[in-house]
Amino acid sequence: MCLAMPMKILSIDGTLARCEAGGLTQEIRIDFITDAKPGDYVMVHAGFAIEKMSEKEALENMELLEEIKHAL
Amino acid sequence: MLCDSYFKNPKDAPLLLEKIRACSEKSGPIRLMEICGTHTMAIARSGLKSVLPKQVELLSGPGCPVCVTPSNMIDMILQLSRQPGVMITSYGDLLRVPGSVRGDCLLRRRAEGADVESVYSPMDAIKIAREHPEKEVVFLGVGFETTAPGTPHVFWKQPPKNWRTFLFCAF
Repeated sequence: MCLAMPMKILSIDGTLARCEAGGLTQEIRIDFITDAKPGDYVMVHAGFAIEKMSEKEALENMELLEEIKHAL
Repeated sequence: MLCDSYFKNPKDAPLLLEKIRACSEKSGPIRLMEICGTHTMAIARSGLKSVLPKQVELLSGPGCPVCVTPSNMIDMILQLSRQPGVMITSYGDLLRVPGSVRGDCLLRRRAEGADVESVYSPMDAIKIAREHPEKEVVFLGVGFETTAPGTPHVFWKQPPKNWRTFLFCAF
């Protein structure tokens, strides 16, 4: 729960979105993002997209997560 | 446990403190913020602030809904984990939070035979409930603003009859 993760939406089916990050895909709920579309970046936490992000914000965030991972 | 022999070794402490002191004299003031309630508790319990050099300042961060869960709530959950026919589903990090008895947590209870499953989301807990109609599946609905809305949201889709939510309310 400590960590939320930026992911890119690949496809949408109702309230479910297939999203990708780091080469892995996952189905998450997009109930809270009413204008989500494929290609958008969202912040994902506990199975839900909780915020839309710009591509710049998402990529910067992912770079920071990589930096943390390598520091551990 | 390796943790005790690797990290809880008082004889190494003076050497480490000396290294920290030497480093802080070269670097100037250092401010470190921990963001987890368990770190806040560990720092307080160990008295770390009183032995660190003045240049090293420890700041308490925000914590999260998991690590600030009151121990009496955890005690209730631990009691629930012993009920026959009950399966506890929980975010993974909550499994390590102790109740009022030090070291007693869901992870330990699982090792002792309690039915405890780690889940990523309330939807995973619902899936488990559907797969185990013979169990009363309790989902630990901990969360602040970023997590809490998801839990009641899954109620709207009529979860299975054997699914229960243990809701934490923080004021």
